[in-house]
Amino acid sequence: MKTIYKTIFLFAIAVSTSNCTKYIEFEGEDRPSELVLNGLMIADSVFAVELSLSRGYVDAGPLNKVENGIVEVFDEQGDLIETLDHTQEGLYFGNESPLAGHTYTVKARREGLNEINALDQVPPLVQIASWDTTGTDNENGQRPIDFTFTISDPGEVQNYYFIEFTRLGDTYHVIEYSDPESGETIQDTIYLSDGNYNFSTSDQILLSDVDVSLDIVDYSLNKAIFSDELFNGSTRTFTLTIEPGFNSEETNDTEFRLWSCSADYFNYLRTKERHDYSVNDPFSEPVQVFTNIEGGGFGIWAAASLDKIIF
Amino acid sequence: MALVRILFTLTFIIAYSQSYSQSQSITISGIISNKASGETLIGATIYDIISEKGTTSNNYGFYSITLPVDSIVLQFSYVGYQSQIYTVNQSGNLRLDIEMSGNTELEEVEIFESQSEKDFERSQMSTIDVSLDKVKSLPVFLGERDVLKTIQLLPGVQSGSEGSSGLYVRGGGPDQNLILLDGVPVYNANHLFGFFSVFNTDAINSVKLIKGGFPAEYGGRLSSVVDLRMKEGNNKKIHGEGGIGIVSSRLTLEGPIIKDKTSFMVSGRRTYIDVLARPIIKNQENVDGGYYFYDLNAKVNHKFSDRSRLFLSGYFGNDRFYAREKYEFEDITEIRDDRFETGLQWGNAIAALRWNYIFNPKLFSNTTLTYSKYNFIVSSEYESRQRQSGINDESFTRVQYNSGIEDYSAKIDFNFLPSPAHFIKFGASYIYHTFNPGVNRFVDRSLTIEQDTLFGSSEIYAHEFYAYAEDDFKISERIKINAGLHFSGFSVHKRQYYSLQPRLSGRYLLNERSSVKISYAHMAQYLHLLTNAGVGLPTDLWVPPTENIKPQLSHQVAAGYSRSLSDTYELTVETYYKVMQNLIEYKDGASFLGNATDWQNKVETGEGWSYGGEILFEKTQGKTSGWIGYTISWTNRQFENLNFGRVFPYKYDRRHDLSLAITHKFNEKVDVGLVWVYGTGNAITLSTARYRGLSSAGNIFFNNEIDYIESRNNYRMPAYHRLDLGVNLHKKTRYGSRTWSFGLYNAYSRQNPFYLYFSRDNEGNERLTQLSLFPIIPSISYSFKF
Repeated sequence: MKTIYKTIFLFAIAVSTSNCTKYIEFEGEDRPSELVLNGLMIADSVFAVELSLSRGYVDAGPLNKVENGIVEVFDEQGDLIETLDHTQEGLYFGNESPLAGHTYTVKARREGLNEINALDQVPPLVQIASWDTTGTDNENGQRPIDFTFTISDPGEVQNYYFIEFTRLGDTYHVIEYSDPESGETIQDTIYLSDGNYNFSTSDQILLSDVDVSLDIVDYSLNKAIFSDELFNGSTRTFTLTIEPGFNSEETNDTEFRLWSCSADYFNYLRTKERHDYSVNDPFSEPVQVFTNIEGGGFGIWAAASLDKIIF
Repeated sequence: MALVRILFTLTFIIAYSQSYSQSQSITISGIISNKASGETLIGATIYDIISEKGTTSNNYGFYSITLPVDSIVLQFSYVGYQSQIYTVNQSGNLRLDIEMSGNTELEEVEIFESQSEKDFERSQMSTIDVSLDKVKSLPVFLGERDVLKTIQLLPGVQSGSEGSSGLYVRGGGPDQNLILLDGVPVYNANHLFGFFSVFNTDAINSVKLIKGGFPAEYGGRLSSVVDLRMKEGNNKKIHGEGGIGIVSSRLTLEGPIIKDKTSFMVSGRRTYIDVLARPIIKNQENVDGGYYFYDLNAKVNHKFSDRSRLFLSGYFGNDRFYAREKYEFEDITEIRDDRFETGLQWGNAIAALRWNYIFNPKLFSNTTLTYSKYNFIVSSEYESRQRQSGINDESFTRVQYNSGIEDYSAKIDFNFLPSPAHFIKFGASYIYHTFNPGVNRFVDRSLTIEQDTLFGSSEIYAHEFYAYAEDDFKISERIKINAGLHFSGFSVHKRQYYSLQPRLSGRYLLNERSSVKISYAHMAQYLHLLTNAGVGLPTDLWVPPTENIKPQLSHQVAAGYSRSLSDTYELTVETYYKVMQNLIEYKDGASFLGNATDWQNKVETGEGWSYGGEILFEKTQGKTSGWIGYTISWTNRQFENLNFGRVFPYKYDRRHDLSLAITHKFNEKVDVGLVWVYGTGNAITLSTARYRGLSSAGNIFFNNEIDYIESRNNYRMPAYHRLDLGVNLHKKTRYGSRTWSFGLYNAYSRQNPFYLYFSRDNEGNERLTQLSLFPIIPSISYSFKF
């Protein structure tokens, strides 16, 4: 009886685990390439757009840039402002600059592909009303910086922001590792430029839009994307702690950037952030990245105004 | 004041029912039971051939019929039993307990072929009494009979993923089914990730599925009621049955403690996958692990008198996965002993104390106290003992996460039968909920540290109540309606929710064999389930409505046609439309594994709707019996903050769902069964393209490539179909009978989709890959009865 059961069990295991995966036909396999337009209008900077091509998900080829496309920008009345010039690698630049409070439409086409279009409005600039830094060395001899800034949020409209700290100029990190063959400790230096600083905060407004997929207790961010839903029309001061870099020389200047975003740009940033965190996690819900491109294409035609300080 | 009003009403009804019985009518009442076992028969039909009036027995076998004294010829019928006819010639009320049997000739009783109430005669629609004989004779997965798997074969009910016991009824979610075992809700009905349900068929007496047109006595869930009643226990003689299968064995014992007064039933089941796998695992040095589940059903009932009876029943079940690893080392300078253990366990415990009391021949009451608990624990611990250079060092770390729900409730139900035209039910219930939506415990002990920390969501206490009244009212020979009101409320923290839910169903007899039916039901559900929705993982999290997240609500209308084609064939055609509000879904990017973020931040609320048609063609008697069920349906969801506010299909939006379940009895020794199912593939979310993202503005992203998803649940898995075959060989033995059952699950070894994902083939190409769970799986089991 024992032998019978052992045989049955082994047979059951064998048949139930054999041949359990197979490749199947993917209906999107032959999906044709479509035009992809990405552009961020920044008040008082020239119009700039990148054109590229999409690929079917299982197509392993590169996402080629489009160098022979036509990109036109129109004003609110539908009048052509300018046609952007291709410079290099799918980048198209104009000579005109968008103005805060104005809406602009972009149209792009390339032979053999659908013409795509999008519109967005450049938000008014919200300035950093005041700012301050304080810092003391911690027990590790490092100096986290407490940074505060204040903004006066315009009350008549919904506003969206994102903030970041950028290290200006080159810096370097020294990393140490053990040579697997000799066992000696080797020091290696990595040079970085314009890197972002991480920061932490307990400000519930800044955390209110922190990505759910992070699902962590200690929030350490390299940017914060938030709306004025909880402080619309009021003046508010935010406090952050900038974390010192690991083994780095902290002699560079730091730039704090406050971006006032359009709603479309905010939606894009939020969904893109979630997408990047969850894209390879089978236990996360898939994320759809926001796009405002019409006409059969992808990308984002976004707008923002920038205020910044250096310390 | 409200209590006084209720007591006054109750007193009036009792007094009224007493006085009514003293008029020119007589009331015949009693209990209908199985002659052989004493088990009460639920839903037996009592019909007066002279006046052509009738009624049915309730969930405890009680019936009451009030008729003019002139002449009464009562026919008692029940499916599978031979009918009995009584002629009543007396003027006073009569207590008439009936014991039904197919084999015994009774004095003063004529025996006829059974003529139970047909579906077309009932006022209720969308209700199916599941035949336990069918459950036992249809082919089954790994030889384990499963009530829920049989329910999945009925139209309007969809299974989840391959092998799952989950029920998705008329576009609803798995949390929207009120699964009652002896009237107590069972929160997680799954063993082994849903491959088996927690219900041991040997312990079950009856199963009823309601998909719509809910009577007012039921509430608290939107989509279905699965009402399972456990056996009461044979009060005539000791009886047992059991079985040995590939993965588990089971044994049920029942019998009288005091003959005809007190009986018991106890039924247990345990898997031995862990025992069988142990020799294989033991080959791995220092490693041990395994999985098992067990469940135990028990019931005792005592008859104090013809009017009073007490039941105590319980269910306890547990699943446990575990893995252990040991590391031991010793030399001159060092002794080391490390142990690592990780485990996952979940289970339900339910209990019910029930008292039936017959106030008078027309008024029956049932008072119940219940307890229900579902708990899930995942833990991991590491212990290290070390002695080096004469110094002892010990450390212990344990990480544990547990979640669950615990209910205490009290309930009282009345059945009042003033005349054959009315079957009135009313009652009330109170439930005290304790929700535990996920608590982490971290223990760290060493020579220098002593830490024991709890963090996560704290327990939530809530109060739920309901009161209801309904009347199954025969307006004329052709028209019969079931009308009722269900009023419920829920209180959590400082927030109260109330809901008044009208219920109506009715039938209009077209002729002697067919009827048309309509129904409407408004339902409220004060529970949400956070689930991964795919596999029946025990990580399911029951959570209450809060200030931000409101109770789920639904409205369902249905219309149908029911026809009895002959005594053996029945046809039911139904169409329905259901809207559901305040449904929850995980946000884009949210992970069901993490628990540091409050669950409310991970979900979005929205609405859903489902509509479709169902056909059930059934052959109920004869050597060949079974059914064909077909469903065509559309199920959608719309959430403001999901899919950019656009409508998307529900994961289990299946356009076509077909099932065929047939048994054929060659003779007393051999019967065969066949099940074939076909379903449109589940809807899943897959990327169909990729493109470059915006790379300016501070280069804020690590990955600048975007996977394009057109819509939530934009892609269809391949269709699901499967054939199961089984044969049962029965034999009478000295002690009773035995049955060998042989089965083939997925007889043509269809590779059905369980999960789709992208992977790279040998040439480096990205390919859509399908994971299937079960190819053809043979099974064998041995059952016996004595």
